[in-house]
Amino acid sequence: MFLMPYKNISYNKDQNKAIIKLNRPEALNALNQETLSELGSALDEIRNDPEVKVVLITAEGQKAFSAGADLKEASSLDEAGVKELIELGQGVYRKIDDLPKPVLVAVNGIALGGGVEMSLAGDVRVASETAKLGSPEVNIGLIPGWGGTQRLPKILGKGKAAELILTGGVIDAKEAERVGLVDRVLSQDEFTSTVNRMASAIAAKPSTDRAELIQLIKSV
Amino acid sequence: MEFKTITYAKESSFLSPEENIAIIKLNRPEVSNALNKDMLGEIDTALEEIRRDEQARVVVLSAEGEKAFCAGIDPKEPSQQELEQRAEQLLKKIEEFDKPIIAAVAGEVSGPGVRLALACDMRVAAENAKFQNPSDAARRLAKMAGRPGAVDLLFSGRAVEAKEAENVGLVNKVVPTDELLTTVNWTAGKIASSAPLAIRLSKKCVNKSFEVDIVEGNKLELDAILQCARTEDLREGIRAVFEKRSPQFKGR
Repeated sequence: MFLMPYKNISYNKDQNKAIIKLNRPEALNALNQETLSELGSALDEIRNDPEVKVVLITAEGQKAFSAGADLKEASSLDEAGVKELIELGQGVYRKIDDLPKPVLVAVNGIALGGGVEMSLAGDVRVASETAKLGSPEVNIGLIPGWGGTQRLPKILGKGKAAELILTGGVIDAKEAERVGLVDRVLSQDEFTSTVNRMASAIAAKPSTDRAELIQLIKSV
Repeated sequence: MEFKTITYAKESSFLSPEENIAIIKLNRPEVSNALNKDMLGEIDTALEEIRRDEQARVVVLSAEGEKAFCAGIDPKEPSQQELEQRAEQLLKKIEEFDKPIIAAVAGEVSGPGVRLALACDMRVAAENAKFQNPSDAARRLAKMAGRPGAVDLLFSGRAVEAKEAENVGLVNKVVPTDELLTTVNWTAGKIASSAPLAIRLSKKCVNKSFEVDIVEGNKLELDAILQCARTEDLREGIRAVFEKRSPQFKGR
């Protein structure tokens, strides 16, 4: 199948695995409108591609999965622009949610705000041991607006979700695993290879049942 | 205001000299802080005072003594059923209160006491905390367990001790008993230092997440973001990020 050229993400297929990488490492993979739109297009391609059995979402670079919304761009918007940006992100993350194929999110570094919210829309999450995750929106006078307040309570339980959101705290990978924000932590040097093996294992046994997927990625 | 069955005070934190943390303490340790009619009324009165108090940004609900947080409804009360109903009304008020409420839990928690702790937005527990038969609080309990498998444990019908409660998400964190109040003060202080509108709307959206689907939930978030976008606090928050300093929120 023809793969569309993207600027802010990369999209590749490896046999039956679809691999999306956020690709603005110089901006800590901050999410601007273009990045979100490209992500949405890639997800549309994947949805209609019968070859794809599993989707892996990760990012280029060692430092960040995604620092969240691109504040420079967002702060220049008027009210109509803000509305458009929020609805764009919400819609793209719902596409991840709605995909009838399993989605593995590999958090390879810092994941904040919209970065964490993207991961929440996937079926299973793994993180590198150097990753830091959080929903710091309240620290700037905002709330998580791309599904964070809705998906986090169901994944973490209400109390833990409230704590993370209301304190605007950032936690390390180990703590994220303890509270259920990620399902497995991988050391830095085995990260890429293990994530690829996980994706292959899921492709061989596709399911969107979360408990099944967690068991599968823990056995790889 | 004078209270008989609770104490009410305000506290500052390491983050600000402002007394922006409101502390309600159940104060009937001789009966394991069991709820009676007066106590329910006084908690309600204190909450109304906190609602009107713009300086108060967050509430801590704790109890006098280390032996019991709350033993449920006082068996000496003449009309148990009426009190049950009044307690449930208060719990609803706590859940929907426009400022976050943190429970600081030490010692035994039983019956409606478990529901009282679970109605709060989060719970910090002392090592000696023990939840008697938490499955009585089924509806609220189900929202606490994120992890697969946790629900089964919570519904097993037996008492859950602090460490286990932490593992399954019934409490946020367990700390040594003598560090309970300082830990809670830290968490409360952090919340009190954020923009109040963002805190209020975050709590509301999280609460609603169990009642609506993601499309509806996203609409609530959008509405909240647009409200925040009209505040001076958001502009200050973004400026502070670019200037690499702490923001000074004014609550408007």
